[in-house]
Amino acid sequence: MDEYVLRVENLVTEFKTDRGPLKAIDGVTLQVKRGEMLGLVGESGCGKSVTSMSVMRLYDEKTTVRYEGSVWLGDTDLMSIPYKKMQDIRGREIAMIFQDALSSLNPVLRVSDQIMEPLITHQHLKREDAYRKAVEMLRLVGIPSPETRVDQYPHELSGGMRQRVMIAIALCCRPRLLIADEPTTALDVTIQAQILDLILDLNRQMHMGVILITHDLAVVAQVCQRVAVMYLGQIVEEAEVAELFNHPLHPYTQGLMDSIPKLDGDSRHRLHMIRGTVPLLNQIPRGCRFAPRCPYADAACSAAMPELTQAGGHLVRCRKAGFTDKKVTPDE
Amino acid sequence: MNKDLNAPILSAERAAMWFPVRGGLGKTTGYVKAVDGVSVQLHARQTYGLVGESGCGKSTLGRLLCRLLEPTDGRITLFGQDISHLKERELVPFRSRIQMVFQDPYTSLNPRIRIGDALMEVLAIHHTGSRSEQMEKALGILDQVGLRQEHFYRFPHEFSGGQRQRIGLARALILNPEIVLCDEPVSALDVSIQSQIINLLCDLQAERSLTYLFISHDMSVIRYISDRVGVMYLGHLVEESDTEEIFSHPAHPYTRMLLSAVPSIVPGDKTDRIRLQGDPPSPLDPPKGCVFHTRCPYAKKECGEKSPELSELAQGHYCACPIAAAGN
Repeated sequence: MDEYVLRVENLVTEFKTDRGPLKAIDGVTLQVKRGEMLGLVGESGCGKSVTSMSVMRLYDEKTTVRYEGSVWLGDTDLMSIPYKKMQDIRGREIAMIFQDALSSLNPVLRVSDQIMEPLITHQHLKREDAYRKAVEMLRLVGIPSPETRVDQYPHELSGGMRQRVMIAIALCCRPRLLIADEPTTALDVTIQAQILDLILDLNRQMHMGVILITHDLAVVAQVCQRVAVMYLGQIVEEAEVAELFNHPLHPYTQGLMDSIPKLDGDSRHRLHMIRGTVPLLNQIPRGCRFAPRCPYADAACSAAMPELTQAGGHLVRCRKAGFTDKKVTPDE
Repeated sequence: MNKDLNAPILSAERAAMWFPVRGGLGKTTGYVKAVDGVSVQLHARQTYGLVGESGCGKSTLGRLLCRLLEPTDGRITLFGQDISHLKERELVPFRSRIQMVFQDPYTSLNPRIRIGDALMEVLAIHHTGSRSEQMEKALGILDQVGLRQEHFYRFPHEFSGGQRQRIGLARALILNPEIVLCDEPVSALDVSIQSQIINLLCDLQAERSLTYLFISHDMSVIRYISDRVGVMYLGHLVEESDTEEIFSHPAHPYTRMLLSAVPSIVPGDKTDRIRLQGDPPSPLDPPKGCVFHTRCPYAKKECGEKSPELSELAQGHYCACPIAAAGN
């Protein structure tokens, strides 16, 4: 089981802007095993989507972005192969699904053409074979009457079905790794539950690694085995799901979990608030990036950036992680 | 004004909103029954939570209640007066007493108008006070929603999402309304900001004795903030009850499924989920009989024939499902 599908080591993604470079991701290290589902959570602007886009090398490297570090897919470092070679990797080895299925599907192509495209480019199937495979894929992702649906256009499908089509396209070449970037955010809860079940099911059947990117902690708690929490371009905590949700060590993780209203909790007490807002990328605080919003921070926290260190089965980036486990009432 | 303390301050009686669908040549070819015969009552100082999936008609009902839309059928009563078919002019005195906060704080503010002017504009429309009094009021309200006075001269793009939602709230509250309709006010916000806004809403309600209609698709937020909850599905109110009751004893199959679809933050929880199959039908062509029977696992033959009425299961707990009412 210790076979890693993907190892990201010290990944840095820096955007070139008119006002100088902006580091959207600063030293992200991640591993995904075969058959494992890793959750990547954080609030908007924390760099979770940039991480996935960088793994796929989807940014324009000539004009907008500079990478550092390495992304190992098996024995290949994706960061050092020629850019053109990435086209063989995308869709075949690593596939991706996005939040908004309507804008990721081509509105003027039939569903069949869009599923057949990767099959023809990567697996060199004949059109008839690819078409048959497309119907089969639609059946696999649970679309009723796939024989008729396959000839329809994206606008004729509902939101949930579009997301199923996206999954069918992503999985038709049996990739080793699936990156799902907020796959259920635009969907209603009942449809969200269906799509999550489907991803979980296919992950077990095909034994691929999955990175599930979301802002919804509860989604991660339900389907992932491991979870990494990001804040301002860095991973601040990583652990097994049960471990992280039962004993969050980083003050940011704790704050996030306390600020969610619970379905079975006491609704008469005030919700916990993390003070302040996420700083802009060009105003990253010195030292620990969470220090200005942290209820436990002291002068030493702002002096030096804490490293991601092993603590009680977690990887955590906080010099006080040991102390903050005990629930101290933070000052507002 | 209200002699009867138990009388609702805002209510809808069998309200319906049918939007005509026009085919070629402008002919009406059908209707989208966005809201179809819904009755709700808002009592003073309470929060009524309206929950449902997209397209269920919860926002349309909200707009009907504050008469941004004119109902096709039924009656809207505000402070004891029938306002269902009043003209725009006649509605003006009511507008200052019922205000609205919208979901998207990015599009609900005019990008070219300074925050202070946006706030004072509201007062100018309702002819309240001199210009200096208006400015004083605007500065005061900024303070109350947790913004600073220097924000008065800024433009919307200079604010974060959470701050913009505070501005939206300030603009709704500046006229001292009694009722505020909040349409998904926290859905576009990150969780840490969401909790700040929810707490602010609760504080303001206590300070100003506000009545809220809180529309959301998020069951946990609804549970946290509401006193009474209505669940909508395809233009119909399928269940209504006090918050504790509906979350501990959900009766309608749809409510049960909605609750069981909400992911829990406790890992390994919810292994015995009830699965809801398929997508909601189109409101253009809703199913006959009970609107939910096409997706309902308990549906019997008669569910597809007769549209169920709300019946009282327990004190104040209404449910539109004959099977649930029979005790199953």
